[in-house]
Amino acid sequence: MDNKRIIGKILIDKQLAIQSKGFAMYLPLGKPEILAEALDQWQVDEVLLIDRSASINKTTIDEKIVERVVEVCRSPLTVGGGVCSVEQAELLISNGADRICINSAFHENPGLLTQLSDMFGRQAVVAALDFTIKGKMPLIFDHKKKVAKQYQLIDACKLAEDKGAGELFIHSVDRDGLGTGYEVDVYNQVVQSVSIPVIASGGYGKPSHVQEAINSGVNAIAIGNQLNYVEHSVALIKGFLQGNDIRKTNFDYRPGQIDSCGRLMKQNDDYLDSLKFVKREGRWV
Amino acid sequence: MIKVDHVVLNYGLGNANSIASCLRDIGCHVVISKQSEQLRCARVIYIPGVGSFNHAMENLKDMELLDVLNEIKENGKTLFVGMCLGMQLFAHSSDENTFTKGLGWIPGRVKDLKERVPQGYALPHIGWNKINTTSKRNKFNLLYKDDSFYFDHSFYFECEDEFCLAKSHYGSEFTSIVKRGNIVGFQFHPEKSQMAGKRLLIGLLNSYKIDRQRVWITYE
Repeated sequence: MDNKRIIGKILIDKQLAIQSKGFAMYLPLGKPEILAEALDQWQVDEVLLIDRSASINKTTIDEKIVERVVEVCRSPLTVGGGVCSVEQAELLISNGADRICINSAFHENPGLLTQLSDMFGRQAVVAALDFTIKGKMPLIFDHKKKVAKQYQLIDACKLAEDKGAGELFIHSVDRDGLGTGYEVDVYNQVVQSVSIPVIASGGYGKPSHVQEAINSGVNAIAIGNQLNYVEHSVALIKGFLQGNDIRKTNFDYRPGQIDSCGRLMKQNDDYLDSLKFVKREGRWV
Repeated sequence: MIKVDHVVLNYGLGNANSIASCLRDIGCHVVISKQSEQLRCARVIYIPGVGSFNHAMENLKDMELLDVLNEIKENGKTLFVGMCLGMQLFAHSSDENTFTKGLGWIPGRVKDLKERVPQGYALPHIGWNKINTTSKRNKFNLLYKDDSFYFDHSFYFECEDEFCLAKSHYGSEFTSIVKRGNIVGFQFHPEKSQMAGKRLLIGLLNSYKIDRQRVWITYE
């Protein structure tokens, strides 16, 4: 069984993939399909495509982007961003999305989750919840006003499960893009209060953070910004975490070769020396 | 009309586009269609599926595809490949949302995973999992032992062992590949399983000796 997933998260703003830091600072990265193709080749377990600007501008994520990503990406694809009706979800799924992610529409109309799970099945619906910590309590974060609501995260999770969500995507606003590790305690609470799978997101800095998150009981870990800094980033993280219920990649990276920051270490001198000369045994035939 | 060997059935539900682009990757000439003429001259019909069982059957009825599909199946010349929900549609009936009759091509029922999976396992079953072939001969010879595939489902196909080609383990065992003559169904998404999925599809087409690139063009 390889049931823990490493999810590559691609955030989009106006057709462009961006990096996000603390929900306040955004840096452009380039075309989303190029990032998706790289993640796919490095054997990420799932790709998450979210349009940040869509629900603010009251539009939906452009289905052309989904189409372009599907053309190059053979990994499972979850799409979100401003989806607020069954028809919009249908359009995205027919363009190649496997699952639909609902964020602000869930707070405005929780019944939408029920409609979607009736139509596409429970497995195709993901409820995304952003939380921030105020006075040691995880509270739901309001995107439009950029403040915490007086609404407990755990209550929202339970409501989403009742309404028919198949998975929860729990994102920490405080740690977004900081690389200081996941909010392990909060995920632990969420996992114990619901019976559907949970995705942890926000705060990845080094591979040992993923280990902590897995130990808290979540089923998947989403990583955004940090995947874009080094080549083979996904394969390196998976190499570091070998033996952890995570699907192996075809890349031959082992835990000893990777340092604590998730970068490839220098090989020892003997090995590098041996690469200089090709050793041939036997005779040419 | 261009006669194409590989047709992805478009019945309003499902990720037809991603199956088509995966098949193009392995060199197939493929169209997405719901026209009966196109379906009749196909050698392989792929039935995609992201959706619920009852809506899928309703859509097939509304689009008048049921009779066409049954007729093509009776001829027995076409290979049917179902993926995820597409595979479950081959069953006699399903309990998803309400009791619904399926195509009934492979004896079996679609049941909730809840009845089968012990507590402590999160449901729906989402993620990569291995498959274990039940017969000694590896039917699709490109299937590797360590290959994982992407599963995303909350219901499973319960059928007799003679139609079950492979099983997977999540809490308890369930069917992951069904096969009866020219009908093959995958509970997972081979089109979303990166290299492993492509290898499986190539192996499947080879084992049925289906050419991947042949196209006929008729001028009328």
